[in-house]
Formats: sequence, C-alpha cells, structure tokens
Amino acid sequence: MTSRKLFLFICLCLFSSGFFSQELFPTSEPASNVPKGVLGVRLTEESYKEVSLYRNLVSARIMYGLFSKLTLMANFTETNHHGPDFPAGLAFHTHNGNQSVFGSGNYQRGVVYPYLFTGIDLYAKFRFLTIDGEHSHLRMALYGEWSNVDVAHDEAEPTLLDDTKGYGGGLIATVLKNHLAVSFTGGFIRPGGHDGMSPDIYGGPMVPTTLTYGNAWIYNLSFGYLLLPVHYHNYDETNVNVYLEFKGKSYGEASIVQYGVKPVPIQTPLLQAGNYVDVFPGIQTILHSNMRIDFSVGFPLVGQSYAHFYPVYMFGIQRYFYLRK
Amino acid sequence: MKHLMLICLFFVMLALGACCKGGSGGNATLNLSVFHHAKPIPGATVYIKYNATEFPGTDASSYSDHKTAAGNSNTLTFTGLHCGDYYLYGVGFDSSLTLPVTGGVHYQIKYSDRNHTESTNVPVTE
Repeated sequence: MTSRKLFLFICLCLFSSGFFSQELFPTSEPASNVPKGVLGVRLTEESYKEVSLYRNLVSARIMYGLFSKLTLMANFTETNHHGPDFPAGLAFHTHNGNQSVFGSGNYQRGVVYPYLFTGIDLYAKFRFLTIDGEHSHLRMALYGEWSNVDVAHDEAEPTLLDDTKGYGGGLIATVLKNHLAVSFTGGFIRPGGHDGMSPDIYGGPMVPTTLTYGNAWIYNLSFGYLLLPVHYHNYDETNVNVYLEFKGKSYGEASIVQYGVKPVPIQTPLLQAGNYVDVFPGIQTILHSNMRIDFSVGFPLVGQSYAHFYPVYMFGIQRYFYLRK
Repeated sequence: MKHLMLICLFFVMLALGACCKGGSGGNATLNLSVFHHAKPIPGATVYIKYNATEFPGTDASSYSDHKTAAGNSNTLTFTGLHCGDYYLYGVGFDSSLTLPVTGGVHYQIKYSDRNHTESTNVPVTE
C-alpha cells in the first residue's frame, strides 16, 4: 500500500468512513476531527418563513485539519435577517405633556431586508480524549469560537454564526456503538453588543442605539443512526443516516441604551431572557465516503426561539479534499 | 517574498491605523446639528472626546473640547480634526417641554475624509 493510499485509508477509517458516518450530525459538531492535512468545504442553507417572506441564511465553511487533534474552521455568512439599522419601534419614547415614557419592542416582523454579509465566525476544536473499541468509540473535545459578526440583530438571543459578535466555548462528547451515535455539546456564548441607529418615530434624525445581548448557555443532544448499508462491502457504498437532534439554549435579557445615556426598559419577549429546546429530525446521505448531503427540519419542543420562526429548513452539502500527497 | 509582502502589508495597515487616531491638529471639519426628535435645539453645547467610541460620562472635564451654538441656531462646528473616532455629547434645553435635553453619539471620520467637511446630527432627549 502506498503512503497516499494508507493516508486515505486512515482518513476514511477515522472520520468519513461508513463505520462512523452516523456521527456527522447535520446541525451539531461531533467530537471527531477533520484528519490532518484534509480540507473540507461546506455550504449550508437555512430558511424559515417569517410572516409572508422567507428569511434565508447562506453560509460557506472552510475546515482544515491542522493536526490530528485540532480542527480549524472559518464560516462566512450572508443573510436577509437584518437591515443596516435597527427596526423602527425597537426602542422609543413618547411625550405626555412634559412626561416621557420610554418603551421597547413595538416593531414589525416580516419586513423585507437586503442580503448582507454578516461577518466571519472562527471555530477551533481540540480532541483530547479518544477511546476506541470494536465498532465503538468515545471521543471528547473542547471547542472555542470567535465571531466578528456585527449586524442590527434585534432579539436577546445570541448566535455567533450570523447574529452577534463575541466568543464562546464548550465541551463535546460523542459516543458511537455499532450503528448508533450519541453526542452532547455543552457550551457558552458571550456576545458583544451592537452600536447602531434606529429610526425616530417622530421623524427626527436616526437615534444612536446600543443593544447588548444576553449571555447564553448551549446544550445540544444529538442522535445519529446508520440506516444503510446494513453491512459494508466497500467504501463506495452510499450511506444513509437518520438523525434526531435536540438543540437547547438559555440566554439572558438584552439591554438597550439610546442617545448614549438613556436605558430603555425591556418590554417584549423578543428581548427578555428565555430558554428553549428545538428538535431537528434529519436525513443524510454520504456518497463515496466523501460527498455529504443532509437535510433537517427544526420544530419547537420546549419553549421557542424568538430569533427565528418555525419550521426551520436546513440543507447542507459538504466535501473533503485530501491535500497531502 | 510572500512573507515579506505580508509583513509590508501589516505595517502599511498599522501606519494607516496610527494616522486615524481622533484628535486635534488635522484638516477635517465636523458640522453638528442638535435635535430633539425633529425639533432643533438652539443654543446647545456639544462636548467632544477625542479618540473615544463610548460615552465618557456627564462630567465636562472628561471631554477634550466643547462648542456652544448661537442662541438662535442649533448648529456648531469643530475644525482641525484628524480622522478617527470621536464621542459627541450634546446638552441643551427644549423650551416646548421646558426640560433639559442631553444625548451622545459616536462619530468616526474616515481616513478618506481626513481633509473633508463632514456633517452629522447629535440627537438629544429629555
């Protein structure tokens, strides 16, 4: 066996082979890494209907296995989720004689926004534990994430990929036994705020508005099951995996300051603290142990997210390129 | 060669960034208009803090300079500014509400506008 073939064989066994393909969850990262020297490219489309229009997110991810235990990723995302400024009515005040009443949350949903490049999200994952058995393994990894996304996001819930700048990190544990894979991700997000402008309801100049988003905890539980093939004959066989992913998040209340000095009371669930668990059933096919195509749909299970509507449709396509000679 | 170009690019960016430090001694001019909603606030004072992006506080000594508009005007001008970041804090009086009004806003003069005259609003509230 040549060294190149040996390398490919190891890559297939370690990551993209049919043995372990059921842990390539559509919406969550497993504890496994991209093999050293392998470049991955992934395109993701996420859509949901908001009132009468569709909100879309298109993300391009580049992944690289820098070391056998360290994977680096960069995500470049474009969405039509936000306008260049905060929506009218996000925060406002009215006059009654010489009394002033400050308020928030009286803003319209389903407004048409242009597609905007939101920023770059960087992600690193370090696998620190590997216990392999026959048709089974346990892997654990630490991850860190940093984002420079800076858009006029108008809900308390932070998301580093497309809504808020900031940083995060956490732990991933993935167990695989025969056809079943189970993975847990626990992590946190510390978002930065957004300094923007919001329209004045009285027609004056745009009002300087700073929105600080709530800190968040993430808790995801994913199940993957290798449906086909039942028994492997070669690596070119098409894999079919089914998934059930539970994605949970708890986040704190947002805060708004207008005119640089005036705190505005939070009066809407969109900006209040919240927690929820969404469930994403999904299906995936992997062609020639490389080209991965997955589709999943998200529904609210416990509570709901105010940062998106339901159902959420997610489509992904991914391929690896083996750069090492 | 590639590394050398990257290093040069880094220093060029660093040099450009160093030029854009908000302060006096430059060629930019900033015209300001003070409004409460759509209502001009004549006679308002605007305090300016050089090289700042966040509200420095209400203490006048925290600011680098200030100007006061004429009693019949809501506009005032800062001259001789560098490109960079400034925090503007307006203080005035809304005679229709008979209330003092204040408000702050961050403004950035871009490198490409370092020799230009810029105009912006300073929204204030009660």
